[in-house]
Amino acid sequence: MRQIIVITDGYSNEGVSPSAAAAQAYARGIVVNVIGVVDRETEGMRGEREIESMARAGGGIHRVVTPSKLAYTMQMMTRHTVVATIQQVVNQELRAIMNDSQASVAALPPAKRAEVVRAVDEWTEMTPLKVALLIDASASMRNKFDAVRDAAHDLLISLQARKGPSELAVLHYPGNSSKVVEIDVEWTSELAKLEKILYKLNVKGTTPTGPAILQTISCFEGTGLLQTAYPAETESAWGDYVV
Amino acid sequence: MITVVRSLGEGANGCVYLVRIPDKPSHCALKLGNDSFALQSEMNALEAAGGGDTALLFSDDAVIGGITVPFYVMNFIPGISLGKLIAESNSAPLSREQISLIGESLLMRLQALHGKGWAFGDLKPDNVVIGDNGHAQLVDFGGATVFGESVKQMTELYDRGFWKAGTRRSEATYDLFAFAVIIMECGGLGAKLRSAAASPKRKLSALQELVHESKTLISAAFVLKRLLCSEYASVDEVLRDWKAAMKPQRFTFAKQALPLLWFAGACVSFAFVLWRTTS
Repeated sequence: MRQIIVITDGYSNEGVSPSAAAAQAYARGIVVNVIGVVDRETEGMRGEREIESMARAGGGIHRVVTPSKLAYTMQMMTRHTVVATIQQVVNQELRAIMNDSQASVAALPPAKRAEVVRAVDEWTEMTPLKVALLIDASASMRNKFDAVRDAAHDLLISLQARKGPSELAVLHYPGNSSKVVEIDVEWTSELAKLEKILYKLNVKGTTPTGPAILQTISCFEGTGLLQTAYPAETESAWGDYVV
Repeated sequence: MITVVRSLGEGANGCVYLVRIPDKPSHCALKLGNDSFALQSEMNALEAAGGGDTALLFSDDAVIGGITVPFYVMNFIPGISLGKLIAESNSAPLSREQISLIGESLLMRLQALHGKGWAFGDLKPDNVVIGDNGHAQLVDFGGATVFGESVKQMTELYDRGFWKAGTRRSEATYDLFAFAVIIMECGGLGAKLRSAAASPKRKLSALQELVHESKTLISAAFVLKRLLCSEYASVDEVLRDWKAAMKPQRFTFAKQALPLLWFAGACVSFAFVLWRTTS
């Protein structure tokens, strides 16, 4: 099971649209969840529409939270993604076995549910899980980095407790010297590795959320990062220049 | 025919009601689920780890306003939730005798649960009910997890992962950490716990120092500190130490008065010597 959690506080302003990028990730079996971070709960978030459509295109969910709720939200999203994905598969299987397009665990007779749910719980615990945290490191996010570090640490504690293999990677964008993203930590399950995240920061003010998601996909596929500054498909995705 | 008497509260997986059902114990608790996977998972835990007073009676689906909702029925556990009891005490500590009894009965519940190879997981005052006899009972098995797996549900303040004091793997020590925090809350440290939790630099040592700030818990401080750093391997050892640390203090007067007695004795003998030498 593969998942990207994007943590941002506003609009993207460069490259391919975040929704298009999230849709590409989802098409490759990577769920994209998005957390919008705000200073106060009541003030709402600029760019909430954008993160909502990004999460929808990425098959995930979005939440707008204050920094203090970041850790809990990341954990909840990760669990939700695993459980929802497995339930979806189980319901599909049930439909095929029972030859009934309405079949689902909820439609099983209550007495039969126990066994199925026991298997689902076991699968939830055992399935291999990879989570990439993709962090918006634009200037306005800087004062939230302590909370982000704390939340990353907390998430890895939860991942470590699972029986199945579980790994976390941390990336932020924009990267240094014209790279779209910077890898803070490659796939790991060691807490100590998280101590040095979010330090090599770029001062440039852009927020290339879409391109950053595309780069994160390649991180999952073991090809490492494409080191070109902005991939060529960025242009075609917007499609304004096609003659 | 099920008659709903009143609402009992809300858990992560649904709402609980006090109900009457013909041919069943006079009062039962009914939990109406919001997700059939999660509720069934909780029922599985209840069946495997419950028992005695917390037993699953039956389960079914109800159709409410055209929507099918899963539910299950279990024994009703009369009493007041520990969360409520602490809130009503207005941040004053509960009495030492009360805490001693709550602690001991809670440890015995955990002992039975751990004996079956399960941890309770989401151990917190709201999931503990205190009966008329002052004994504690566990309710809401939504977080109960087989030993060795990752804990299913937790609450920050009682979660040792949150305090950077250990893993979130289901084991005896996970519940025992939460137990220690609950006892600290009973000892009037609730507000201090919450402000320590809100600090970005929260850590285990801060929690351990807090233990000493409750006068009610002084005699149990070393047990609590060991619990917080997961030093007890099993509930059996904790139970032994807890009973010893919280036993009624009959000789407190003698202990406090001892230096005074010494001093008085010294004065008397000095006066006696003085009188002998002058006469």
